[in-house]
Amino acid sequence: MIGINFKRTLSFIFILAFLCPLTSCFDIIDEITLNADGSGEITLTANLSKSKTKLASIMLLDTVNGYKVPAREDINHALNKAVTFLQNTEGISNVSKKVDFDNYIFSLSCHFRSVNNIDDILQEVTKNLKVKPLLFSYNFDATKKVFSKNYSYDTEVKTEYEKLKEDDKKVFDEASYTSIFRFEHEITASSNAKAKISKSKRAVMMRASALDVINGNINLTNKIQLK
Amino acid sequence: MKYLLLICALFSFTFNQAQDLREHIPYNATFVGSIDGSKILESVTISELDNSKLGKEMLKAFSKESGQELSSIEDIGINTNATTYFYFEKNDSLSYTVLLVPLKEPQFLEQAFIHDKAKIMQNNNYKYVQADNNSYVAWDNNKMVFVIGYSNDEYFTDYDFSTIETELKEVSEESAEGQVSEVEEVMEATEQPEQELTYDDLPYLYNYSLHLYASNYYYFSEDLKQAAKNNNSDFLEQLEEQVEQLKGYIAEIDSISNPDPENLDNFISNRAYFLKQAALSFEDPSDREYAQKLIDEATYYSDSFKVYESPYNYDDTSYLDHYDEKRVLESKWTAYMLHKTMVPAQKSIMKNKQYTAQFDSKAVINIWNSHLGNTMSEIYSGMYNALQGYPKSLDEMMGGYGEFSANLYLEGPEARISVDMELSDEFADIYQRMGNQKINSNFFKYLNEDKLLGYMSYNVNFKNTLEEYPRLLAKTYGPLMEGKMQDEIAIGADLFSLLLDEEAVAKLIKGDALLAFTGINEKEVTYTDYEYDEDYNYTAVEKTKTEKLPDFILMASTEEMSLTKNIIAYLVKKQLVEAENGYYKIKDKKSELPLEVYFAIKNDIFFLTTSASDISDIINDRYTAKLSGKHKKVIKQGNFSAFFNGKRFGEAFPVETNMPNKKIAEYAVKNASDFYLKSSKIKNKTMHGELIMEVPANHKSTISYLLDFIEHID
Repeated sequence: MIGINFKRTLSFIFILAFLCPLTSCFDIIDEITLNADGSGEITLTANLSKSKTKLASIMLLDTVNGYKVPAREDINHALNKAVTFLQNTEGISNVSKKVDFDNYIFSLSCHFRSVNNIDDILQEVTKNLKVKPLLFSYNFDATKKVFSKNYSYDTEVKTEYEKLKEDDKKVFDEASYTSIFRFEHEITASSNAKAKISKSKRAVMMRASALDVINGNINLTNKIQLK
Repeated sequence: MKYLLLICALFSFTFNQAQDLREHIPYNATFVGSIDGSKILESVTISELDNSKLGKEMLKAFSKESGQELSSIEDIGINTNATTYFYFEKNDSLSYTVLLVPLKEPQFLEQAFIHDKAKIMQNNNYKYVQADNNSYVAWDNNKMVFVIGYSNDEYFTDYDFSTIETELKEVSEESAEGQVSEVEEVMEATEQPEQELTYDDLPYLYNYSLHLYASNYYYFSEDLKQAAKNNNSDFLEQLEEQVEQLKGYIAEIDSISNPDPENLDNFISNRAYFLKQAALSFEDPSDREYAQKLIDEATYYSDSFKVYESPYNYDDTSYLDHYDEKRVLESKWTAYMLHKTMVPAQKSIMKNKQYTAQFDSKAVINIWNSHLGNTMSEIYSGMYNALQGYPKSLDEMMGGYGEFSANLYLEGPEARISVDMELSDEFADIYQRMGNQKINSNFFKYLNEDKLLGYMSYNVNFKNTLEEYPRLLAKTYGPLMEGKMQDEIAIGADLFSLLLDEEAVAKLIKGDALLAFTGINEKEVTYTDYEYDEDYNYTAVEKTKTEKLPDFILMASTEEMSLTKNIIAYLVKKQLVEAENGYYKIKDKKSELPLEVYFAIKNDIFFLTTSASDISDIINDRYTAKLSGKHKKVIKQGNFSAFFNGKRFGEAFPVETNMPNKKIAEYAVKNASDFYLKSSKIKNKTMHGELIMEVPANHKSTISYLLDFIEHID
């Protein structure tokens, strides 16, 4: 009896102290390493570590701001489902996931035979979504050695974002998106001025704030010419 | 909605008592509540209410709904010299809630109903309207009565509906007379169907012979149409046989019931229409005539049979539930209660000593329940009935809880809610044994009032609780199992006692505990970020930032040193905890708390805290304690207490610039007030508890604070 009340009381205090400011930071990192034959590795990481005290507090609750708070088992289950889905997808192998609830970092990675396999996954994952936040498609022309990421902005994203309550919008205030591409060959040109080429000329990185992505203020399309 | 709004307003702003409406409340009302407006007016004036955001919005809504321009809440016509009451009562057939509002003058109310085009009826010296099927409003010059009633389903088991059925039938026949032409129109409209029905459209007819007839009629009509199309008159003779077969099916049918008649007519009339059209294709007039004869002989409608009313309603596949009859009865019974309430009760609640004894004229709001156990049983029984039949031994269930009384007092700078709950002899004994423990006064040595944000204390005799708790659960929930599990629950309770050595456990956990919140302090927290090299390879690095986090300390009395020592040694060995200068740091935090947690045992007290400095000071006898007699008294007094220092919390609370609802948060922390929750030991078989809220210094009273708070909500 005491134990239950103790936990409830602590939850209450933590809610008071943290929940009102729901401005959590999170980073999404999308990393692709492309081999010369068009195969490669992709890793998608969500790092919510900067908000870990807030998240740990939120996880003590069932719902917050009217949304159900997923339990650890729910998150694990969702990731396991994603892994199973990827394992059964044509051209995808070596699927792995990392779950770190101490720091709230989650990642999924896999090997693909061709970048088109990623397109297939994206299409499959987003086909039932009303709003498609990240409309990407990838292409690699091995003969011309051109890798391209095509991004089309869906205005619905902004419309849906505008529909959110002011409090909920704040979740995106300090969130960011990072995209890194690595190649075996050197890069001779990158079409997007916002993308930076590494010193070794074998990697390209592009960072954007979540708000810029939502509002369509940034174009994530890039065409990379390899040597 | 309109009525609801009106009722809310009337209920919220009724003042003082000249006329005692309690005379209208029956002696055996289960729940009785009252609100004394004069107490509200002691701390706020009518004009302050009128000019508050809440008052303005109410006046605006009322003016709009009633079609009358209102400038003051007083214009509503409420008697400012009386108290408003509500009560709940249940008899065998009806559960009903009544609101009794004193009126100064009824014009506003009457005009509001006229504006709403409600049918106002007169009965003796009062008027009334039916607000909804099961709710009525009546008023005279002194009072308004609102009644809402719900019939009790169990009352309708074996209920004889014949009288009300006859009554409803007569009413429907009267109204049906005016609708005949409409029905004829519909019939005519179906004479020329747009599309011919196919075999797929053949309805399922519950009478099997009728179904065979309809399906064979389909084949008969198809054959005849084919013959007409080919002008094959020879085939007509062969169809005679089919007609005889159809007649055979019809002969087998004595009577049919709904929904067969309608379904049959719809299908046959459609098929017959197209069949007759097709028959015109025969070139020879005699063939046409012959075909027509066959069709006439083969075609039967529902009027060929005796039709009786089926007890089953196939439309919603449920047993005919007398829904309409029940609603009519519910309405009648509610109206009866309305008329009954308009005159004083033969024996009123004023003669109920139990009620009058707890009623305190100093309270602003009073809520009373004659027997919580019985009321809970009724609620549970209702719930249980819906699930699976009638439960047994319900009277035992929750029977340990008796009369319940709650009073709200507005006493100068504080608002106080006082709650009393009566217990049965057995429950009083159980709770008394469970509560037979004094709180460890050594806890006070480790509290500093200057830093305290709040606390909660529990004070139970753990040994007695371990012994009594299973018994309490068995008593409370055993009957819910319909008596089936009662033995098992009792055995379970015994097993629980057998397995536990209460004495030994009670040494480890004595049963008194105090949880204190000692501040919101800046703490360094780590997080993982990435550092990218020049080739954008990234490595995870641990970074730190400061966050304001709450600190707490939990203290619990313990005695069993050898056992605890062994447990701690084990935890250290398993590297679950780490020894640090006389105290321990929990390493494997499965607790999900986003904080470092430390613990120690000293002076027979187990300490658990988030503050390393506090626990270090405690271990090294350096802790500076400060606690006033007021708090000590509150903690010692009963078995449970709580305190929340709103003002200090307001000072310590980190209102971030970009936080949502910043305005309200700022107001809340600026105007936060202190809360106390107090309890007393069981006296005269009654549990007593109090919640006290102190009004912030910048507000003159609880009501003005409340109005000001509403003012700040968007």
